[in-house]
Amino acid sequence: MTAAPYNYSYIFKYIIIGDMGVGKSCLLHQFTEKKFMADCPHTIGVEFGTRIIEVSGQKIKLQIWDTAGQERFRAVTRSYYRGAAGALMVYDMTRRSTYNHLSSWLADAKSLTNPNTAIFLIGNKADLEDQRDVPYEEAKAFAEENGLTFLECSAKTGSNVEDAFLETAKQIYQNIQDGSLDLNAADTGVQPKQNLPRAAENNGKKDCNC
Amino acid sequence: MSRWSAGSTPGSVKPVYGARYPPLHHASPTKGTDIPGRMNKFQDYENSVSDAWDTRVKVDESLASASAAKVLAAHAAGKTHRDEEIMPPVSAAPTKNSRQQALQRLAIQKEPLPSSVSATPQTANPIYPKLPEISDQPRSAAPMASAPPHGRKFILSIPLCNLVIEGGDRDQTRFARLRRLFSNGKSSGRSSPPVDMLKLDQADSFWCASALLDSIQDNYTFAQPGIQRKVLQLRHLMSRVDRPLHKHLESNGIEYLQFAFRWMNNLLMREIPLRATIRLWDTYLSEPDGFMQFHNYVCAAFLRTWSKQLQAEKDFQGVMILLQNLPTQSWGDREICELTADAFSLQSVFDGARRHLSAQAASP
Repeated sequence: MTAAPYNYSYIFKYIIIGDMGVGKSCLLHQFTEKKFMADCPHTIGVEFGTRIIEVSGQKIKLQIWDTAGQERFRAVTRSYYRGAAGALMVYDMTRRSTYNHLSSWLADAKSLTNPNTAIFLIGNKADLEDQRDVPYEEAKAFAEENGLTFLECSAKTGSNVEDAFLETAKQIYQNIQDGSLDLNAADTGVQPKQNLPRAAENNGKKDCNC
Repeated sequence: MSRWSAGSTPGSVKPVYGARYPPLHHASPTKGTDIPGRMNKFQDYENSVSDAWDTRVKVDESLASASAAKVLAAHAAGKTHRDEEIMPPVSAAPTKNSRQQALQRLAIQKEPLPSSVSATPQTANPIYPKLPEISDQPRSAAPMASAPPHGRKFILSIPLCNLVIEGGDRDQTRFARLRRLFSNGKSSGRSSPPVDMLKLDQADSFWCASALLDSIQDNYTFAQPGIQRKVLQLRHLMSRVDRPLHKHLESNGIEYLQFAFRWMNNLLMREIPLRATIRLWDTYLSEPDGFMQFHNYVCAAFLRTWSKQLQAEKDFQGVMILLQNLPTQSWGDREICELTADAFSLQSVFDGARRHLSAQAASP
């Protein structure tokens, strides 16, 4: 990555949530490293990833918190919902149980984030079409019912992974432009550059985002 | 009642409780000399209720209500029994010793636990489904695996469920090693391990895990309070031992929980290579309270090892990414020696000096 730390207009905070083993960490890894991590260890608590993207000519730095899916870490992971501008709610389209749990994930996301948080529904493992357990139409209907944007993608092949993150950013950016997301409000998960601590004095330092 | 009542199985949650605060089998008569008959009454009552933990025993309704009535009457009459301590502290040494002996006896015991424990109600999740590493053994050929005493399942399911994370991850539990050992025969029709050996290893694994988790059990209970507390202690400690680094982290909006949670949850296993983990845990085993207390000083020493590099990173993401991927790939004995030496010196300065630690750190 070539962008220097000072070279962006906004920071957006994201969280990735969903059942254990649906591929949250792999999605993040595919997005930040453009590689598929085959033997991904269980996430403990939360892990952090970052990448700079471009939306409508504006550079935006994404700060992504990848949460552990295991129930035992729920107490810790819940504290990361607050202040997220975008939430990716992931299920595994080859395992119906992960889809069935979406309502409780959605309840958590709705109650713990602010009303402007862009929530996306992501059906992962689209490369395993022959093992599909959740029809596209069904998930699409669920998403529409709950006002979510829906995408199927594959962390393995990388298909639609970029879109999942970019579309979320576009939606957040759109909310800023049309004024529905008030940047002065608390915990929006969006930080304009001028408010960044010490952003100006960082020039010339090596980049560390990769 | 057999010697393995549900209330006296070493290593279960209840006996841990019981080991430090044994039931009042030997109620101290030091102050109970006022009424001669009272001691006997108490002993009778005690005998009648000492098996209260044992769920198999039906409560004698009439006795229970009579006792309750007595207590109520005593309270109504304004009598207080301050001298009857509910949980008298006992000196740790003899208890610990006898407990260790009990553990050792159990570890070499060849019989499965007596069948009486199997009467424990199966309320807890059995451990076996959580251990895919061993559950794929042919059940008929390995009776230990197929028909473990239920009481054991109950006990195993408590501490081990947390270790299974790593077992699944990296084959680092003994169970996983065992499985590898015997899965070598997979290609030529899977051979099952000798039952005796399986039993020994199972007992061994269980007591090892149990001893390890004894001191850090609250790391893995609901909401993981042990970890929360230790992360806070680490923060306090760092504000004392490496203030520039501490300030650097704070000014970049880094919370200790964001990186140190994993350090505590996995006892640094994820941060350093396996050979270094084994070396480090060996030190933990040889230190009193190694996993509980010394680990915290090791974490502080570990964090300040990277002080310069962390301070060279000038923003949140830089520091965070470095903290998540510390370059320890080449670590071995030497690095762990230095790390534990530093941790030891920190411990000798700060251990037991809690107020000293927190007085100023509370307002950094």
